[in-house]
Amino acid sequence: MSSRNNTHLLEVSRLNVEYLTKKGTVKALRDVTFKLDSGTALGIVGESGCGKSTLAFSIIRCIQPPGFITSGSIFFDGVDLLQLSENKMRKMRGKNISLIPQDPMTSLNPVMRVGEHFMEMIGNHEPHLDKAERKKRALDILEKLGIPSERFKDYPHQFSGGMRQRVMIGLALLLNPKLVIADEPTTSLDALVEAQILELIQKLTKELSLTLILITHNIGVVAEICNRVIVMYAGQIVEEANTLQLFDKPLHPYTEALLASVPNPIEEIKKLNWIPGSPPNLLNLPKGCSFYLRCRYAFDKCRTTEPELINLEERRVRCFLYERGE
Amino acid sequence: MTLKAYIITRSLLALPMTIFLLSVVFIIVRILPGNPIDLILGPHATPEMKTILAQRLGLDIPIYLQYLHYIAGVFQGNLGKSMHTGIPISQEILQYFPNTVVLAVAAMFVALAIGIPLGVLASQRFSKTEDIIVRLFGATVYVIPVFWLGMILQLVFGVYLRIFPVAGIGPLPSKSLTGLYILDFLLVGDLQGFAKSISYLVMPAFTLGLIISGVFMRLTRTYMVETMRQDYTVAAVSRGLRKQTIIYKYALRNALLPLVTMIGLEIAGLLAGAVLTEVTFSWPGLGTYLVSRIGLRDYPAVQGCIVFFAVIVIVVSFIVDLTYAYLDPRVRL
Repeated sequence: MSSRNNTHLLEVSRLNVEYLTKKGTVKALRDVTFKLDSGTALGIVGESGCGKSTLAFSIIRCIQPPGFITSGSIFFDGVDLLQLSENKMRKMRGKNISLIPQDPMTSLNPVMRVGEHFMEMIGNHEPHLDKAERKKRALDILEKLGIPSERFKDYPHQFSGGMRQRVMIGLALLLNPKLVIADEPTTSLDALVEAQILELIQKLTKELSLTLILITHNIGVVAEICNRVIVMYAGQIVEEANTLQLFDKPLHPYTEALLASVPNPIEEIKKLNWIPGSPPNLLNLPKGCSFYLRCRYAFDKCRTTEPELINLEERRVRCFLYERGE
Repeated sequence: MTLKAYIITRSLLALPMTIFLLSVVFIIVRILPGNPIDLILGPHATPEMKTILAQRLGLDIPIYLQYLHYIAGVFQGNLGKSMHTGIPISQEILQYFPNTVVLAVAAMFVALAIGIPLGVLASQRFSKTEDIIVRLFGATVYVIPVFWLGMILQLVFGVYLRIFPVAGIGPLPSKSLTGLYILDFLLVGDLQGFAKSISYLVMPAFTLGLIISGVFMRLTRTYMVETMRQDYTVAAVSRGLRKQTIIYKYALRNALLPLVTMIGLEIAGLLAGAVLTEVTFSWPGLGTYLVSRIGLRDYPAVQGCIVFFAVIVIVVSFIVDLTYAYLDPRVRL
């Protein structure tokens, strides 16, 4: 990839995250490296357990023990987040980088009024604002999200799932952060509400010119919202490309299989295409490429040697098929 | 369920429980060796005297009739008269009970003031040294006998250091307005008397409170570890809220909900502990009254006390349920 000085908003390099379990060390993220420019909407896709959410939580340094960031760096706006004191990191969260959680049903404090969540967040990050000012800002954002102001005093359990996710989005956008990470924001919602929420995220990211990382297992969602995509498999990045390129011509066999597995409602389908086999056990990774057991193109080298990420102009892929000179 | 239906259901459930309890107590006091007649009249009583007294106390009729009379009396609100003093039991209970209330409330305050902060500390230092020390402390105070702790405190702070009075309740206010002597001191405006009575209250309240604090400490820790892992707490961390906000407004507030229920269940333990504490500190409460009347085989007094304790436990746990509903907006009865 061409170097563009230090203008990247986010620069993650060789990030490794491990979970210490009784059975051994789970390598949840392996040498994850990527750059993200301001204004980009980046989609991160992969199967369950491939490390997508771990990556999201690593960026805001919210990995809970027994998980640990073992090495790497995460530069945000030129500052290495992994070197910040906990207090400075706290001030980053929500203010500069915010997270839209996976399950809105359980992500609001059940004993606190919805409005109080907004007031409290402004109070924690901008204590100089008085109560009236805080309330004004909270109501502003609620209006943007289409939540009537009289619901300010309601409790979370009085809100529907879609409304709660709107609240979570509101909290994430409240302080105008530079980067918003949405961790499977629609997984727990029904299809109709999912479409509304995605539309809302899309509208707001454009309107507020936000940088977005959208984590999802639904590659169709990525096609709609993101202009760049990272495909993850077994804790590694296996492919990165612009969305159009990726859908037009997937390079990695895993991406290819992933795209083929999306049901196509136009063509008549007799059966669903799925990827045979299952992802490798992260406790005990096989030697060589982690996808070779499920890969239809696998050859001898794949079994013995682990492929590196190969740079190909605007995209990257982790596969021997694209090695130069072979 | 409406509040009215709820109250009715709870009362109906309490009824068989109370009858069962009454029956057990009725039998146990009569199984105890010794009887009130011998204890009242002494060793030189003649058979005639015994017969007359038995008639007067109603002990001459068959035991099942005594039982039926007693149960019938209780449900008419009549707990009978003391075999020893001849004063109605209800009157005696109301005389001693306020002192027990003062002790129990103070002890509960001590227990929560010690238990909750230590539980929070342990949960924040989960599996680390502080956690282990706090858990050890919790288990230790839980198994210490009340009277042993009481006597050690009496010896150290009462006898050696002379900081607090060894035993007793101290002087009482000039007028009794509410029955709760501590409140009366304040209402009368006698601050000196108030301070003095507090100095008498410190050791018994601390003894009983410390014993009970172990339960609250362990529960707070367990619930906090649980609520710290919940999605809403993790989401709060991801929003960059202050650590204090996260611990108190998210983790602790949600952990307090189940804790309130446990406070209700602990009322029984509190009253049982109060009996032993009162005896140790010669505290003129219902516990001391009960123990002295057991010694005298004052059947109606013992039975009356037990019924009274049972009603307290039932009423308090009911109040606790209502408090829970108030604290948790999701529960609206």
